Amino acid sequence: MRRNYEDDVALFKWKSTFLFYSFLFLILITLPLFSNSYIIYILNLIGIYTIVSLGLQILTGYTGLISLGHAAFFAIGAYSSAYLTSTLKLSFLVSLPISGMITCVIGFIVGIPALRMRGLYLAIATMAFSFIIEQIILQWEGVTNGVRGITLTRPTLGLISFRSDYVYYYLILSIALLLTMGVRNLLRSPMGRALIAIRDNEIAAQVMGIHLGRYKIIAFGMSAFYTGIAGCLFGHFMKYIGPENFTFLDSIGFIVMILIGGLGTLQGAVLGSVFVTFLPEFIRLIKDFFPSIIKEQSGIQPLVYALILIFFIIYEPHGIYGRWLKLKFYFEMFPYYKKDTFRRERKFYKSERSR
Amino acid sequence: MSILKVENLSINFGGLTALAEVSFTMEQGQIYSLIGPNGAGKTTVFNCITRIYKPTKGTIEFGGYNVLKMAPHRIAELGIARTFQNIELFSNMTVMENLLLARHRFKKSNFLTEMMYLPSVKRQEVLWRKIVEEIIDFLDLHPYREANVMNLPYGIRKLVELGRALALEPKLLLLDEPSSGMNPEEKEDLGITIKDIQRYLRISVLMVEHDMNLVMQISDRVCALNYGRVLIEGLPEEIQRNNEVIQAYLGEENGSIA
Amino acid sequence: MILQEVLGGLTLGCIYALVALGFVLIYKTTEVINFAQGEFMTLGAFIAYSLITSIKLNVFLAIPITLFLTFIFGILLDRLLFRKLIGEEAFALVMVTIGISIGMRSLIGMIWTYDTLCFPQVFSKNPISIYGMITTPLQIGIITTTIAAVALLYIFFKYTRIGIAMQATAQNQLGSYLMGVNVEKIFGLVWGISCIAAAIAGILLAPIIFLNHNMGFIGIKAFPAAILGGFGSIPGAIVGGLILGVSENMAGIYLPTGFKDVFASLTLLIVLMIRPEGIFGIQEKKRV
Repeated sequence: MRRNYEDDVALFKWKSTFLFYSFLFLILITLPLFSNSYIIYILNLIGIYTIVSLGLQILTGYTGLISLGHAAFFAIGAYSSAYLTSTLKLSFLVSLPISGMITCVIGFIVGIPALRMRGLYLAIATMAFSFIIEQIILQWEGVTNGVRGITLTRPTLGLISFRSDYVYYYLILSIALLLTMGVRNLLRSPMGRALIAIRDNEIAAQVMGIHLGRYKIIAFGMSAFYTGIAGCLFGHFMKYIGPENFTFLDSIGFIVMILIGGLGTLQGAVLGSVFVTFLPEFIRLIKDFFPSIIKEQSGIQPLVYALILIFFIIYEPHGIYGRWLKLKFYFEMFPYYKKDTFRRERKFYKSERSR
Repeated sequence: MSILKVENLSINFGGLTALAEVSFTMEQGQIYSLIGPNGAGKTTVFNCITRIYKPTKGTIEFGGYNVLKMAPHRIAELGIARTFQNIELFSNMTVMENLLLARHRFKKSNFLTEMMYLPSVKRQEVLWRKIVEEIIDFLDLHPYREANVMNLPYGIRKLVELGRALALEPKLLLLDEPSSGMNPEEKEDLGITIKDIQRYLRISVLMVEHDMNLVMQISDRVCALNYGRVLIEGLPEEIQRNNEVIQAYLGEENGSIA
Repeated sequence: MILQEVLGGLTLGCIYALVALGFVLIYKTTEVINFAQGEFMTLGAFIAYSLITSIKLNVFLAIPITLFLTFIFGILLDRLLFRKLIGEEAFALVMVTIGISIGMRSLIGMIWTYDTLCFPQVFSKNPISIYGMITTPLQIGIITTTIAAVALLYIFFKYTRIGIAMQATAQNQLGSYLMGVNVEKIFGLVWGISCIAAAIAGILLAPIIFLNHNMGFIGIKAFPAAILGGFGSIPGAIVGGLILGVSENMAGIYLPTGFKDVFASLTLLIVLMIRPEGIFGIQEKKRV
């Protein structure tokens, strides 16, 4: 119930949402108790990829700057931490924020030329950027060990050793929750609105006093920071990183996460990462039900992946969370729901398409 | 005290001269109208003032500042707000969010304090909501407060855009064809609203308009453009009777525009 | 000798040019950025391979049949998929093509093989000497084929009714539609022709880098070529492809290791930073 302005700006506007998320929080905290080693492994990965999703959502979902090269930031975070802990022998407590900051600064630097590029050109440029980072990983053997990769260790903070996946889970969970709160707060503040305004209508945003350059660069930096932190967590989790973990296909995987989950929503970022992380496991599980010709193919996974991606774009453009919202809306409006309520607007004029 | 001084404003697009030596002066507290047939360059003048276009020649002075030396996002800081011919709202935001966005220049927080949502950020949000509510009151937008602007009817979207411009607390309001798409009753209401803006909100209004009734009713001064040039500038009655203006609108026929 | 290296680069450049050409053709007409152009190339190469080795078809019979089959593939792709997506957001279309590229790669691997195959020789690789330059019939074959293909396309666009209709559609979809051009059929044709161009590139490329389901990755290099030439210009794409091929080869010889692989990406970034519309491109701005 909103009775005054304070209620309007509150984190949870309805008691029911508050209860729901509290319940969800409880489940997340107690999940390790019910998980075997396989499930906890998946949960850790989901947590890491959720942080990446959040980062990418800030840049692409909310500011509208498409990045097809986020695996580069993921890599920078991972390799920074690897170098800081393995070679410089710094503690994880120091390497985590520093690798985040390094990635953030590189994000800023990438953001500067990106200001001049529109829409899809930016997407292609980020793709080129990630190819360059891939090469740098291969060539800069002094830091990255080239093709051989780097091994990392699980950190120990004080008395707590994170060698167990179960304990590491809580590290990832707390960082993910913190970062999610950060984005959530940002979105109900002036800057969050500014980012969305930039996405929806750059020129109008400028006229309303928003410094496009500054906010786009901050968006890049923030997005890179999140992804870098995730990269660091990833490295220490897998205990080994190599150039094969950070390819163009991984960048696409990140985009697919926020697309399938729901572009421009926090819930979408989480749902997307859950979906995409589960997908390979899911395919592996149902493979047994298919005739052996299909079962034996190692290429079945990318194929299913591609089919799902295309399916979602054509039939579920707002992602899983979008479908959920539409369902909610249907029940709220029942029986007045009109069939084409959410039909996408198609733009046939070239002038309408240029943003 | 002149609030806006445009002098010798000229701009070319490729080979086309959109504006040639346009000059006019607007006093504080006036409602000033720019009229002229389609393609005369009226919106182009607006776009030059708000730095969407860069003119090839001329100066624009606002409250003592040289507008042409400022970056586009600084115009709002100066106190100039505008509406657009084809409504340029933020389609995926609610009415409330669109209006709140306009408060941006009063922002005292930065992205770090916002991410932590410090009490100062919360206080700013609550304060802004109070201010925006007043504008919603003023324009009667209550039922649409939480609606997504994408789904709103055209007339309401125009009001929202006006509200967004007002939320900026401008000294000068640029209205680009505010009455287009409205029926006579709505136009009357609009005229009253603009007059209220002038009288109670103490905002100067520079208006591009096609509806001569509206222009004649509420304008203090009028400037007529054609083919990028100023035809004549003066009181509404003078413009109405001027032959050149009549010709520009109606071709070679003799008639009056009223 | 420099000229030799230039020739080598031109050879590669011809292939880039063909891929970029098909790519820009699709973009100009349908405004779709086709990330799967490389996979079209792979498809063409594999089909030709099967026709020549499995069915033991004569080379000069196999290649036209390959071109025809890939043409049909392009038309089918348009009819089944892209027709549903006319007018959609550019980003959505890009992601669809990325999906297609991933899917095609797997399918090709599944249908043929994941191994690397050796493509049958059409032009020999034995070095011969012309005017003191050492080159191979393969290189000459690639360059001449490309010139022939581009010439044919040029004649097609300039002097046939369908070609002119395509140009019109590329410039103004709605206008052409209102003028009685069957825009949807043109779209299908455009995809088909692009597939043909890609297939030719694939058949020319396969002897050099060997047949593999991942070889479409070269298609990503079509981007810098197309952007160099300005995204909306077909001659620009061809020129871009040639320039890219030559400079990439030079980079491989004169610059330290690793630079050759990223040369395309670096060029792309630099061009986008300096002149976002490409060399021949036009800036499109939103009107308010």
